[in-house]
Amino acid sequence: MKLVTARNKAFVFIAVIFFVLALNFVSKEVRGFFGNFSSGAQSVFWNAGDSVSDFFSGIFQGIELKQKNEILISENFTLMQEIVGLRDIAQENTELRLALGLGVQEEFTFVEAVPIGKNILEDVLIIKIPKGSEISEGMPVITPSKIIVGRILQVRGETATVQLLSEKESSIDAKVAGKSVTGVIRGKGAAQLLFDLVEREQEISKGDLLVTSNLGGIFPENILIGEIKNVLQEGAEPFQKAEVIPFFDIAQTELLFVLTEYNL
Amino acid sequence: MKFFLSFVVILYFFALLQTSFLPHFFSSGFIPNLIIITVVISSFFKKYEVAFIGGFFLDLFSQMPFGFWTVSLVALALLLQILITRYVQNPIFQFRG
Repeated sequence: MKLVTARNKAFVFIAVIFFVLALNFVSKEVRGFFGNFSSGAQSVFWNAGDSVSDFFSGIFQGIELKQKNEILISENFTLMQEIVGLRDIAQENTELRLALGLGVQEEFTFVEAVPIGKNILEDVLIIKIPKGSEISEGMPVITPSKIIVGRILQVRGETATVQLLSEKESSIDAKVAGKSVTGVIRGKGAAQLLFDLVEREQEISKGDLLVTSNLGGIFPENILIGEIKNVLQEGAEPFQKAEVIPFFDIAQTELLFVLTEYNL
Repeated sequence: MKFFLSFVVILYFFALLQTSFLPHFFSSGFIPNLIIITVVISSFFKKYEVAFIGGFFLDLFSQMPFGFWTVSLVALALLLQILITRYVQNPIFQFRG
């Protein structure tokens, strides 16, 4: 009797394992179904997490926040002055383009999306997208402040997954803003980035701003990525690397743009 | 059956917490895995079905091939049970009568 029961248990065990493995043939549909089913609950949990973390940030980081605020106010005024100058240049640029018959093009068109979760143990974001939207795999995703987030990995009905730049299999072409230094941003997992394949002769330093380059033909140019934290030079390696602090912060994100049309 | 359904609800709740609530508190990316912790604890009580359910939910919220987490957690639960049975003596039983 015991042997029969044990045999039954083993049979059930093997059958369930095979069933789960067989789901690989319909994994997109299964994950899509559960993703759409869970999206409502995930939105509630995401908003709750945002509110609770904001509340505790206010309590435990009060002094730090005050100091950061003062720095940001000062930086804001500096940037405002730069914007005033750049607006004149933009106006001049538009007039010249019209005069030369080049036309004025919109930077990009986008679809709004809302983050509702992050895959467990992966740097993959789950977003809620409008029903029937023209979003497809490979499209870039940015924040409203023009900070790069990643690209669409899979579209599943009313939800989609976004491969973050920090995902281990992600790599994109990048450059240092204001310098002719190019390299590749590689994901290291756990929200970490590495600026790799920078020629040894090129000068990079802590604090350099990194932006996207159009060399890879995937992302529009000059979208913010992050800031160099630490330059790593290893022995006689032909290339140098640098650790990067990404500007994208998953906890502070409430809205995303999926770029459906853009100029490279 | 009640036990199975209650753990489906509990582990689904943990999956939602991990994907949507906890990322706000662990921006570095290292989020405690509530599902794996539950599976480890339940393997002390030979509840292997918890490993199936937990693995299934991890597979749903993952980009890995389906079954990766299910097979991994079931193997982990079995391995833990073997180690506990062979090498761990419960001191409470040692002092009984």
